[in-house]
Amino acid sequence: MTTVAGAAGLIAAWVAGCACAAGVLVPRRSVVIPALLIQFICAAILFSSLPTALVFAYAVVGACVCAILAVTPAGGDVAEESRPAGVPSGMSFRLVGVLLVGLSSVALARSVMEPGLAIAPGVPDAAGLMIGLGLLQVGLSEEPLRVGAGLMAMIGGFEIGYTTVETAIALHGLIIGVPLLIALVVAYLLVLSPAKGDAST
Amino acid sequence: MNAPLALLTFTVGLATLVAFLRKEPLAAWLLASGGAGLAAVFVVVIRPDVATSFLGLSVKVPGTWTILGRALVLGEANRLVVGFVYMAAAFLFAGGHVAKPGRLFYAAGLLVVGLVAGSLMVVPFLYAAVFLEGMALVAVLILYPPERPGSRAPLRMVVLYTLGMLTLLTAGWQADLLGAGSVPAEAARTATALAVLGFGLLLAAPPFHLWLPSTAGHSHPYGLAFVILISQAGALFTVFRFFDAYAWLRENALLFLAARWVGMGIAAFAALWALSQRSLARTAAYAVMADTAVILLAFSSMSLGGFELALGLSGARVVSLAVWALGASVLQNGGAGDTADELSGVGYHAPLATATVLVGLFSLAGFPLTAGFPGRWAVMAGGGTAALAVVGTLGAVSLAAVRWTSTVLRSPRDVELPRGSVLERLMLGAGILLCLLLGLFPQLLYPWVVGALSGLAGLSGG
Repeated sequence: MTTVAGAAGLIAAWVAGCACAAGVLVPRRSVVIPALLIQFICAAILFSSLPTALVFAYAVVGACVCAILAVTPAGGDVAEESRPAGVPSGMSFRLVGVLLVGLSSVALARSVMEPGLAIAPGVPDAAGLMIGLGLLQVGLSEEPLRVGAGLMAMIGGFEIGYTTVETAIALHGLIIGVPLLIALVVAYLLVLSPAKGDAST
Repeated sequence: MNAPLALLTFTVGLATLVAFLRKEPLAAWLLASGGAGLAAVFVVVIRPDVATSFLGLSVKVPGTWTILGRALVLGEANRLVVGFVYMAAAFLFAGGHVAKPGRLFYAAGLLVVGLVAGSLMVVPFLYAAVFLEGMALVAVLILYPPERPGSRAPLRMVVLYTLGMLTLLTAGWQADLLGAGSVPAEAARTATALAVLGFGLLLAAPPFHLWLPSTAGHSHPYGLAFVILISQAGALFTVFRFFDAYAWLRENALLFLAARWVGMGIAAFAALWALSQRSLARTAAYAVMADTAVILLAFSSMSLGGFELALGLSGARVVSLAVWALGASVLQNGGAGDTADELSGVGYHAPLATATVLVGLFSLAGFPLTAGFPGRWAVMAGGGTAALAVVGTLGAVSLAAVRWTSTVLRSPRDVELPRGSVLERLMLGAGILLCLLLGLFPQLLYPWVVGALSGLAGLSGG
């Protein structure tokens, strides 16, 4: 039974990592939002030490976040026309970045959190991948949707690791609510500055 | 009803009401400034858990609100600093009718104040990081009002505050493992490094200052000033609470020495950048950064006097920055712009607003006879390298202000600026007078602000 749970955790971790990578590699609204939903679901699976109600609340927050972003009018498919000037962010650069950052994040997370009795398998991998790739996404773009998705990935990854060391339900409740606020702010910014078109096609 | 619940319910209720009245600027202005002022009086006058006479009635209000096993506490430790935040907000809201920073300013501003107050009341205080993150998210509505679309800089603030939240929560976890007592510096190395990183992120210390100049280049000056003042007050007091809670942090002499060198580095960086700016708002943003460096230098003295001075300086900057922002807003609203070319000769068209901008800027620099000077004088009186850094910062930022003075007094351009209303001229004049008055009589401000430290037993030695 433990092995099955461990395998599920590992699968969830790497699915979350792949979803993060997809969000970084393909900066399209039609990819970023579903990838975000997958990250929320995988993170919820990995919140093993949280009460079921809170895990359920996190999944609901994820669904609400994606719904808010999906219904926000943004003048077409959001792309990366707003990348910081002078920062290379072509497909090949992003692919190399995802591989380097992803692998080093996993290695770092595994050295900080060794799986054992307190830490389920998959937790270090998921935390490392989501924080690392979220940070990469935030660094590569200034477009609100992508920055917001990167921030939510970072917070999700942090929360996965933080549940193993902090037991205060109130604190986790507060952190879980933050992505909802980020989604509202991103939606507000998208409404004010709709994207000009899809530059990635 | 307990005091924290009453205060936060009042704040959120008022923000909701003001949001509905956003198309009625006069009503929103009166409600926001009056409400924030009333809340400040309530916090300062009512002593939670102690029978107090208020408007002829004997009132005893519980000071603790327990929620999900955690608490929001309004007591002697934080009553004055929460009052300070509400008072600063009321002061800034009062100028809002003239500055016109956007229709969401009052509602979002009240929410920002409520969240900062929440961060000051929450126990354990590590939860403050999450409240400050919420504050940064709401602040986007002020920095990026619907009237000024086009920039993405406010998201940088959110990114840096998010990183700050994550860092401080991790530092808090490490700190809890060490406990509150004395611990060898080597054992506390990770927790100390994380805490310092978190403080740097929240206080916008270089290289985490990026949101400040880019936001200054786009946002309304008054909205920017409001966000800087309220957010930095919350961040600064979170730093104080950290040092108050952990003996291993406040007894680490090496950390204070490092703070001194970092403070001098920030002072040199900010002063030089302030000098080289051709945007008025960015000059002020770097002047604020130099002011933060002076606060850090005062703090680095590792003494009660230094801690008090740091709080006093943060009180004086409320007046300096608000006065600068009021003048800059009037000029921008009138169509004068923000760059040196646009403001060339503006002093002949709008003398009072220009004078307000300059007095605010000189006060931010800490020029003698302005509100910013007494605190700097006290730091300089301490002598040593910190004094030299303060003198250098004061000189460089004052020189930037002198440069702006020469810019606004160049031969007048052929532009028409609207003549301000009586209320506008009254407020601009009052701002200048206040800056000068607090420069001459700092005892009107400092003792009250400094008193906020008395509740922190670890730092004040009480």
